[in-house]
Parts: sequence; C-alpha cells; structure tokens
Amino acid sequence: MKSVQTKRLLKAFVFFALLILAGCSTIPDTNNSLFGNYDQATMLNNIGNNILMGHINEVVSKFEEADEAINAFTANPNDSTLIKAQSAFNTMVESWAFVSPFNFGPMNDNLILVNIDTWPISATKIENAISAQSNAATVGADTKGLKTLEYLLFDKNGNTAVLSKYTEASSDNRKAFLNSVAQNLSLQITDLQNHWNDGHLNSFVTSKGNDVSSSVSQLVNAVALTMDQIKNVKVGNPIGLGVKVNDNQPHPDKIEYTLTEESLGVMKANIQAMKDAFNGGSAQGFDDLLDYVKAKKNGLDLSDVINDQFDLVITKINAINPPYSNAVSAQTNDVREVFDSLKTLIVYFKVDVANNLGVTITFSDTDGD
Amino acid sequence: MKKATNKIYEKLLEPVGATSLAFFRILFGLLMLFSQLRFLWKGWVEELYLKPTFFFKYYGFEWVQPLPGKWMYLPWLMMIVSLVFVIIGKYYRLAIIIFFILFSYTELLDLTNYLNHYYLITLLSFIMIFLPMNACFSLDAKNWQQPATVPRWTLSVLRLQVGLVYFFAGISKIKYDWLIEAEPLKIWLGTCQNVPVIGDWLAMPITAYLFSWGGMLFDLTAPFLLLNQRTRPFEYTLIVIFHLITLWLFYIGIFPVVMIGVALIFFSPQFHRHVLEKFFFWLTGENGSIQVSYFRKEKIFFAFFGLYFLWQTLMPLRYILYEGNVMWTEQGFRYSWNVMLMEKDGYVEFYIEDKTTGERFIEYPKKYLTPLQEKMMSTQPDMILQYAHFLAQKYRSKLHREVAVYADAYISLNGKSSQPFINPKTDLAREQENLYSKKWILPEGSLQ
Repeated sequence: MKSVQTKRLLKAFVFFALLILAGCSTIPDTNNSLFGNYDQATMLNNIGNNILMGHINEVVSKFEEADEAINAFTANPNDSTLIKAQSAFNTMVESWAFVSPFNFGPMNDNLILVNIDTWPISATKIENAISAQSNAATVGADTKGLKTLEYLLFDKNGNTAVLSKYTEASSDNRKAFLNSVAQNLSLQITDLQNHWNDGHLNSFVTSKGNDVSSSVSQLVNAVALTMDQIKNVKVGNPIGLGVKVNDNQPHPDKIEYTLTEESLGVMKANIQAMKDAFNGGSAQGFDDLLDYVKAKKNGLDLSDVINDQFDLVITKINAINPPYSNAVSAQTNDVREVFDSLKTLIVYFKVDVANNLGVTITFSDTDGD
Repeated sequence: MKKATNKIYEKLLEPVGATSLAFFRILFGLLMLFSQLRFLWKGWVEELYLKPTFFFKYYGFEWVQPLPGKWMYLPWLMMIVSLVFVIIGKYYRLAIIIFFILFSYTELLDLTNYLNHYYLITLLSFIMIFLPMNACFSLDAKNWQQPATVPRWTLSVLRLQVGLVYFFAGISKIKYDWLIEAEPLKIWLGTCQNVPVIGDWLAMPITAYLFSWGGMLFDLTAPFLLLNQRTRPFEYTLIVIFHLITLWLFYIGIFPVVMIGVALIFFSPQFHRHVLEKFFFWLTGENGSIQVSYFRKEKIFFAFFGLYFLWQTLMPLRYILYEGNVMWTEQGFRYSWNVMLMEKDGYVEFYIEDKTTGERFIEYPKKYLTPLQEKMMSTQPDMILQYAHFLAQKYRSKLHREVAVYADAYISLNGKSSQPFINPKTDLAREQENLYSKKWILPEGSLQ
C-alpha cells in the first residue's frame, strides 16, 4: 500500500528540484561590476604569492648565508669570522620575523615554527648535547633553533668569551654542534619553502570563503594568535603582565633575545609583516575585503582604523630605548603602552574583524547552535 | 463554550494507531545513536570533558560533577546501550529513563556546551518517558493486542513540542537586526562568494533579506503547514531543503539532520505504519491478548502536560522581563529557541585587585580554560561572572586577603563596532548570580 502522502511528497520533491534547477540556469555571468572590484581570489593570490612567498624566499637565502658564515667561523674561529657570523645571525633573525607570524599550513603541521623558534632554550641541554656529540636533527626543540644559535654565538661577557670556547683544545664538539644547528635551520626553512611550492601556495590561493579551513580564517586566526604571543609573551612577561608571570615586576631575563639586541626589532618586524598581509602592500589585501563587506568602526572604515592601530603599535615600540632588558624596568610605562596598543589591535581582530567576516576564532569545530 | 472544550477533550482521547509513536521511538533512537557515536568518534568526550580543569555550571545545578578520568566515557557507553534498547523496544521505559538522565547529566556538566538542539533532545526524551512508545513494533509489545491504538494526545504532545521549536525560532527572528538589517545573514552570506555557481548571488544583500524574511516566515508557519494534510508534503520538502541549505552553508553539525528527522512526527499514522512495515517488520511479534491500558488516568496527564507546555511557552518569552537587547545581554536567551540568530564575538581579560595594597594582577582566560570555553565565555555575562568568582577564590586563598575582580571585556554583535561589554568598575566578586537583571552589563551602544 503506497499512501497518498508518499506520492504527494515525491511530487513536491520533483517540483522543488525543478524550481531550483530553473533558478540556477537563469544565473548570468557573474563577472560584472555589481559586486564591486573586490575578488577574494585576487586578494589571496597577492597575499600568497607576493607577500608570504616573497618573505619565505627571502628568509631561505638569509638562512643559507648564515649557515655559510657559521661554517666559515667554525673552520677558522677568529674575531672577524665571528663578527660576520653574528651579523649573518642578526640578518637571519630579522628576516625570519617576517615569516613567523603566519603559523598555519605546513609551518604548523610540520612543527617548523616550533623547531626554529622555541624559547626559552635550555643551556644545560645544549651543553649536554655538545658533550654527547649530538646533532641538531635529533635533539628537542629547546636545544636547537634560533635561540640556541644565539646562545652559541654570543656571550654576555663579549666576543672574547665566545672565541675562547671555539679556540680551546676540546672545542671540536661545540663547533660540530653549532654547524648542525645552523644546518638544521636551513633544512627547516627549505622544507617550508618546498611545501609552499609543492601545492600549499595553490591551496592557499584557492581556499576561498570563511569556514575554518579557508585561507581567510587561517590567516585571521594565525595573526590573532601571533598578536597574543607578542602581547603576552614578548611584552607581557618582561613587565610581569604575562599569563603565568603576572606579578607586575620587571623580568629582563624573559625578553625574546637576551644576548643580542634583537627583541625590539623582531617585534616591530612581526607587526610590520602582519600589517603588510593585512593591507596587501600596494595590491588587494584584507583591508579591501573589509571595505567590500562595509565593515565600520565607530563611523570610520574598520580597515583604516586597523591600519592606524598597526602604525600606533610601531610608534609605541619605537618609543622604547634599547636595550630592551633595561627598558622593561626603566621605561615600564612606555612598555605598558605597547602592551595596551596591542590589546586594542587584538580586540579589533578577534572581535571586529571576526564579527564582520563571520570568521570563528578557535581551532576546534562544534556541533551547531 | 463547554461544548467546544468537550469536543477537544474527545478529540484528544480518540484512539489513533500506535505506529506513530513507535515510528518516533525508532527514529529518535537511531538519530541519537548516530549522534552519540559521532560524539565519541570525534573525540569530544576527551576534548570537552577530560581536558578542561574548570567547568561552567548551570544555574541551580552547581552540584553536578564530572566523573574522574576515563570514567567519563561510561555515560556514553550506557547511553549507547540504552538507545539500542529504545530502538528495539525492550525494557523501553527503563531504557528511556536511563537515556534521559545520562544525557541531561552530560549536558549539565559544562554550560560551554549548551546547544539548543541538545536541549530539545533532553525535552523530547523527558516527554517520551510518559508515552507508550513501545505499544507496537517493539519487543515489549509482543503480548499486546495488535493493532494497538493510543489516545491522540500522546501523539499531540510530541507534535506540539517539535512545533514550538519552529514557532519560537520564528518569533525570535522578529527583531530589528534580523528583518531590517538582514543581519547576521548579510555577514554569513557576504563571504559565500566561493560557493560554486551561485556564490556571487548568495553574497548579494538582497539574498540576505530574502533569506531573513523567508526564514522567519518559514519557522513561524512550519507547525501549521505540517499539521494540514494538504500542505504537509510541500512543507516537509521545504524543511528538508531549508535544513540542507543551512547544513551546507553554515557548518552547524547534526542539528539540521535531527530536525529533518523529528519533523516526520507530523505525518499520518498510516504513513508511519507504511515505513515501519517496510523496514522494521522484524519488530512485530505474535498477536497477544493484553490491551494497552496504560492511559486511563488521562486527567493527571492533561494537568501535567498542561503545566509543562505552559512552562515551555513562557520560557522563550521571559526575555521581555529583562532590560536591553536579549542578544546583547543574553538574559533569557537560552531555552528560547534562539537558533542561528546572531554573529557575536568577544574578548575578555580579568584584573584581580588586592584590596589591601591596591595592586592589580592580570588574568587571561586561557590559563584555566580551553579555547572553546574562552570563546563561549567571552560573549556571555553569566559565564564571565562565574569565572570571576573562580578567580576571586583562587586569589583569596593565595593572598589570604580580600580581592576584587574586574573584567575588561569587549563584544561585537551583528557587524556593529566592538564595545566595552562589562562595566570595568564593577567588582564582580561582589556580584551574585541570580535571575535579576545584571546591572553591570553595559548597555548596547554605550561608548566608554
């Protein structure tokens, strides 16, 4: 017995199916001015190819140069080769600062950020690795990477102290370990470049939309997370406003680079890199996307407000006089202003941008509403 | 007048085929079985109940505690077993009671995980405790005289419950943001450019308006069009299309599937019998001699369900008693079928003040909360208050002095500029959770 209802239900399905088909077939060519000049593919193409890829290619060459300079130093440790290695290290750190804010895709999946940029490092573990003749490829993340390189190339008592460690009789192990750390860094960053060239760039450019796997969501989340890190760890911890270190006391030992004066420069480069991705340089960026969805902030364009806030953060960082380790106690109020300006920027991203783009600020999926 | 009431009374007592109830029992059991297995498979027991160290309590249910460690899996295993018994209709009453208690228990553990459709499941399983869902197509029914009939009201209460969800979901859409601004659909559809073929059309503002008004009318009329035999097939097709569109565009998990399923309760007992005979013929046993005699005391049930539905009708409207926009303050927001109603994002940090020295310590939610808990708390004042009390307790025992807790919170609702959310001068440690209006929620539109 087939009920009348079942037949009706079938008819209704066919009716609606035809209606939808009819609707779809009348949709004209969509490349018209009705939707404005913004196109997500153009934006992702610009951010992916010109900004992210540009920085990755740049940093690969800097890492290779540093690797060479360090090899030259260990082959012939003297004042001049050490200074060259140190300067190559500084260049390397500053170029990496333009790549590290974007920890999504292969950088996150393959723990490349972790392997390159974990801190604090463990001096004890490093010394143990040296005596055990370990290779950087086989040690933990707190025993290699940029901060380990800093530990091996610098000394708070000056270059004579560094040189003595590489010229004494039993320095072969230390030289070998230093070389392996530099080489491992080069390998890590080349790995990242290869992943982007072998498909990730393509998937970044084509993952449109705003769901959790889209490039827009990945970028907004990565940038928001980096800003959190800068605010809570790079600025918060040294002035006692961190997640765990919240005693309101200065902690000069908690700054990012304790032996070289790179902390402030790196922070500024991080912010600049995120700003570049945000406004897309001279081409389409997130600001155009926000303008396209008519995102406003107290009557102004949200894109302008955010651009200004990026600049304000940089201005506030510029107001801090190096060394940063002194500033955290001598200029607490100025450092606090960097902290506050970053909080405002984070609120703009996690609240205003997320709201206007319908992007979810979290990495886990849920079961509905 | 009296005649009319009598007529309704008679109609409610009129015998109808028990197949509709059996159909719903099996359908509900299968949907829940799928849902709970999916929950386990996704690793959500670990993610939502083992990882967190702090749990947000439901008002009045602060005493509900999680089980230690891996024991937390036990409720799910027991629910799965009880659902199998519900489906085959063996020891049905006991099985549904166990499911209701365990499901409610797992829901009450953490306010973070509140979802309207989980609440609906709690309500439906509660109602099902009192209904003869096992009168046919069940192992329990083998001794009963077939074809079994049940009084019409047993079917009506299920339809009413499902109908109320649609109806109030429609009522909740009659809001300025939804109808006049077409928000949040403008936001959600605005970035749908990527959808093949129709993406650009979805992103047009006019589409957001069509979807907003269409959605409101669809929800409001759904129960009535489902009740009418002539419009039912068309309405149900619409329901399937509507929920599939939301599933496709908005990634909202299992909710659309549940609604597509439970809306089938509006079909006729004949339709249900037809489906059951085709797929669940193996659940029919011999024809026994006992009649279904469970429902003689209908007056008690009428009074009980009368009160139940009065409560169900008043709950979604209680927001009227509170000041301000319900989407902003979320006072009276839960248990009200406010489904997919807003885009709201927030950010919150806390400061704990040592009242003796005046020193303020910053506290980040991430220290003790999972990302999901932090996200959920950032937009919901009662959760912010609970967490503030938790922090106050921590610092009191650490400093051995009185402390004040302040929230530095911002939210953005439906594309409007972010604004301070909680009065930064209010010491939350001194505020109590209760049903009164929370004066420390800053009004929408205030710029401090």
